[in-house]
Amino acid sequence: MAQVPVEIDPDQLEREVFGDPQFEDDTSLERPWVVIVWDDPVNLISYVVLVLQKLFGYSREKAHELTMQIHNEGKAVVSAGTRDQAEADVARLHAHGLWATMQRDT
Amino acid sequence: MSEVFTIDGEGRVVATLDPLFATALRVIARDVRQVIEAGASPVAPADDPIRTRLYPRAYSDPTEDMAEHDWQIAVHSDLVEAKLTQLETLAATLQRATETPKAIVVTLESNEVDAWIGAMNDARLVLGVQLDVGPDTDLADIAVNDPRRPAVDLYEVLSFLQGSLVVTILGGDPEQ
Repeated sequence: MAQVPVEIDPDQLEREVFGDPQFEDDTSLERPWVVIVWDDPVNLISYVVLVLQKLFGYSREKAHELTMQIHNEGKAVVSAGTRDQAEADVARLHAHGLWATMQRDT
Repeated sequence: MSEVFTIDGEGRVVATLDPLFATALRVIARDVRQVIEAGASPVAPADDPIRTRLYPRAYSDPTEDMAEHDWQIAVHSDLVEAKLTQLETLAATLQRATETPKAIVVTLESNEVDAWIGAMNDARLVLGVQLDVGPDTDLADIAVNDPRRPAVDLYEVLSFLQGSLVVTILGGDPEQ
């Protein structure tokens, strides 16, 4: 039979752990994966701006800035998060024909 | 030339297509499907540049091959399905279009606009690989009697149409 571990502090146990903002902060700091969009000679600049706005909710200015970084520097980081979040973002970018990969943030 | 895409009073996109443009869209609705279906298996055959471009790797690190394999298994069929659905939507909208002597006119719902843009993009990606389009490619260099010219013409028509539609829904050209 499981026994109650006596070392637990009752005050600690009463703390709100579900949806505790401190926990959310902890996980949001763990962002070890980045999603990169690479320059592509076919995709139109206006189209890449549209896709980045639509998928990530970026403003026109932010989406345009990232697109020009992709165009001029060959690539740009468009999102960061957990492995699962990065996998989902890459799938959405591929569904829109953008050439995207993910890698550990270095 | 008058605008190909305009926004009506209810915020919907109205396409007024020159017959040449309508033909280009019918061609991709008919022919891109075979290319998408040819890449339907989640296991990538070696040396298929079109497939590699339509369905790139997610993981740039080759030591993540196991994760890459699992990710491909998880997402590939959904990607294929979405591309096929876009082409079907494009074909269906063209079928219900009104033909006048000078133009083919159809009003598009927002999901249909997305399908048009996505289908045109997939077609341009496929043509771009076939024509080996690179950053410094000038398609105008390809002669009128070159066997690649029909593909170049289709690519350029689609570039114009896709660009026009994107700029219409963005409400202006982001490059200006």
